[in-house]
Formats: sequence, structure tokens, C-alpha cells
Amino acid sequence: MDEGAAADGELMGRVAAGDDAAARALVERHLPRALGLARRMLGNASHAEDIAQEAFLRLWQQARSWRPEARVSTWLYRVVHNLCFDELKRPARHASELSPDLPDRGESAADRRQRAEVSALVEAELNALPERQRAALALVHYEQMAAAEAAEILGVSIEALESLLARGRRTLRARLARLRPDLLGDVE
Amino acid sequence: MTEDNAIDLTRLGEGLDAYGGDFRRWPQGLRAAAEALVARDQAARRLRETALALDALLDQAPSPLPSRALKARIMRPVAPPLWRQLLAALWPLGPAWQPAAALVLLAAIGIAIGPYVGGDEPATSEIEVLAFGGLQDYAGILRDDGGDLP
Repeated sequence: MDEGAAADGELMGRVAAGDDAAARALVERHLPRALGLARRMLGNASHAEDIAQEAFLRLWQQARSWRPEARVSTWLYRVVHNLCFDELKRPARHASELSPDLPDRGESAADRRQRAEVSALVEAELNALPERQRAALALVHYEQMAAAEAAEILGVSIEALESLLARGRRTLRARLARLRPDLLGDVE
Repeated sequence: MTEDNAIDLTRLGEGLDAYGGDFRRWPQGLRAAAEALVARDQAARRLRETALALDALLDQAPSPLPSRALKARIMRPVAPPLWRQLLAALWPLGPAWQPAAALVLLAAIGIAIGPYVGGDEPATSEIEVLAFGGLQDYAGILRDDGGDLP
């Protein structure tokens, strides 16, 4: 187990003892990825927040019985992944948002508009991917998780993870190049 | 894909298809071999550029940052009770129970040893002077006047 995972285990012990600073440290460390995964899988910021909140609530409930050798990150992201799958079975609730908030880079209004347009296009194509391909891309590309851990979260082998990733990326390249050939330059 | 020390163009292509052109996303056991192949092979470099172009496009849709409100909602079940928050607001330098406990301890010590401190000293308070000193003075005056007090 790496240092981060061991530190997480220690923090869980402190959470069980009522130490809110330890809980805050776990939130700072894992919430961005948990939220990012949920956002990619659901395509909706509000529902992604609900899922992240529910996953952390379940984590707090596990604090007293937490096994030190367990990995908080794998456990938490797997819960997020499973909750998202359950959520996706309820089609009425997860309308996609095509205009995500973009960080301000101090660019001109026209450049910002262009970036928002491209971002919305990419989001739409990501949301159109099959759920498991989307989850694999969210974990490995966006959350930069190691392949072994991403495979464990998804409950697949590394070979199966690579297959999901490759199919997802090939589909995205084809669709984005077809819609906006200029975006992929002359490499297509 | 297996993790050998050296990889060929086909296997590089499989890796680029899956993990993209940024080798930091690749499994650790494959990174060095992939970088070495790209460094010495023109076709490998072209494959990587294609993957990097898609990476750049995907990065146009960044992950969201958690809001303060969301963090507060998540922390609510593990937040300390109100009285502890109030103590922390009054004593922001650390755990508030420490100074509070020190004050309670000092007060208890004071109450416990208070009756035994200064008990044999002569009464000098203003009330005692008024109560007894005044009476003795009055008795002296009566004696001087030949009164009938002892």
C-alpha cells in the first residue's frame, strides 16, 4: 500500500474518533476526483454533487469498521461509479448540460465563446459514449488514475480497461473529426 | 497489453489508443519503453502526435471543481456539535477544551484550598473594625465616665 493510502487509513481511524479535521482532509483529497467521475458519468453538475455527497456519507458510516488495509480512494470511487450507474437507470433525472462552467483564463470574449463551444461539443460527445467507456475515460484521462486502480474500480481486468478506453477514444476521434475537422488539425 | 521492456509500433499504437499521448497516464512498466520508441522512430512520433491532438481536445472540457457549499454539505454529518464550535470560535488557537479544562481545574483548586489559606491572620477588615473595634472604644469611653460597664 502506498503512503497516500496508508495516510487515508489513519485519517479514517481519526474520523471514527470524531476528528472533523481528518474528515476535512479526506474531503480535500478525494472530493475533486469523486465529483469529476460523477460529472463525467452523469453529464449533470447538480446530480453529480448529490452522488458525491452520498458517497462521502457512506464513507463516514464506514469509519468505525474501516479495515486499515483497505484503500479509501478505490472504495470511494467504486461507490461513486455504482451510484452513477443506479442513477443512469432513472432516465428522467439526468438531462445533460452542454455548457459546463469553464475556468477564467483571462482571454478575450470571442476566445472564451469559442472555448465554451468546443467544450460543449466534447461534453456532448463524451455523454453519448456507452457508460462504461465514459467511466473508463473519466478515471484514466480526466482523473489521471493509475490503470490498475481504475480497472479495480470498474471491476474489470487491465486488458478490458484498455479495450474500453481505446473504443471510447476511437469513437470520440471519429465523431469530433467529422463534426469539426479543424479541431484535430492535420493528424486525422 | 503485456508489460515488456521493449515495445514495437503496434503495441505503442495500442497504448496510445487506450491511454493517449501523455505518458504520465500510461502504466509505469510501459512508460520508459514507449518513450524510447518515440525518441528513435519517426512513425512512432506521428502516432503519438495524433493521440496528443485528441488529448488536447478532451482537455477542453475540464473537470468541475467542488464548491464550498458541497464541501459544507459533505462535512455536516461529521461536524462537531454546536457547543464545540462555539468554544472553537472563542478559542481559535487550538482545541478549546484545553483552556476550558485549565480554568475549571484552577477554580476547583481555589475552592478546595480557600478555607485553609489566611485563617489565622488578625481580622483587619473594615467590617470587623466597625463591629468590634467600635464597641471596644465605646466600652473605654463608658469606663472613663464611671459608667457601670465592667
